[in-house]
Amino acid sequence: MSEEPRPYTLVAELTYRCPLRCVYCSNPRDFMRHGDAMSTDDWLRVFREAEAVGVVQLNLTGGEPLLRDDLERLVEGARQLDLYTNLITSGVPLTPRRPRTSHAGARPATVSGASAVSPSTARVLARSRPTRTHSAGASGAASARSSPAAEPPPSSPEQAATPIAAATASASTPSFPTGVNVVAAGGGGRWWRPPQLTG
Amino acid sequence: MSEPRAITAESRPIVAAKARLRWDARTSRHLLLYPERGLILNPTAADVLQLCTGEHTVGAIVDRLAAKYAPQPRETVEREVLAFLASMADRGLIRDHDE
Repeated sequence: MSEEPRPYTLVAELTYRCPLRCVYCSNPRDFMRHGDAMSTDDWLRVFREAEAVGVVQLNLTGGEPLLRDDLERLVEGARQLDLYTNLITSGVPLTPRRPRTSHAGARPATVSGASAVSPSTARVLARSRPTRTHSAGASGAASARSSPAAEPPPSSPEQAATPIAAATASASTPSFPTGVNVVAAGGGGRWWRPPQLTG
Repeated sequence: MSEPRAITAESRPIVAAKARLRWDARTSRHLLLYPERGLILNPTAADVLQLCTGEHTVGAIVDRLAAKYAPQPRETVEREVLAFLASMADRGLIRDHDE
């Protein structure tokens, strides 16, 4: 088994655009002056390059990744690379049309800013299972700033897989690095301002 | 939500919807990926999880693996499979298909 250091997770901050103004967020406040820095093809190239160096898990975040019109294409590209794709979203822009991201291959939706999820959004999410809701206060780290950011390799091995026979024993199962893309700190997941676009 | 039932010999375990088992050519290991984390599986753990499709009972899984890993006693295999599946269920990575 190779012990070469490798990145497992790519955190792709697809856009700064977002309908929310969560007080704990590290998104730039003047984000309306930023365009989406990278094109669809650029992102697909980055995904390929990431996969080539060992990435198996992709976290699509922002800003609000659902505000990118090419999200389905990006998810499909990631699926073709067999990347396990997480969509980190407030869920606010979800419409009954949009869960096609999950059909395109994005598996879990991590819902950040949980109290922001309206009943209708929750219904949409329920249809695009599997889904889990993340209360912002419950998660740990702050968002990685650089975009894209490859995570470091796991540092603390964790025993999980049980050997059946002594002859096959001894493989430990390092935990992957914890995702760092669900913003946290205070706020209890509540919005600080009404969700409207300004700028 | 009620507490998940313990995994027993009669359970038909299935990998949780949020988790995905895949081969990793770089390590020549199976990976079990789930939100924001993953496990690098040793070969026996991968053998067990590949049979967690909801079709097979734990008893049937043990039978198959005891045959594969003969001459390991079936009781040993059963004990280790049950312990492993319990740890996977604790992490929410498998569930009983009949639940």
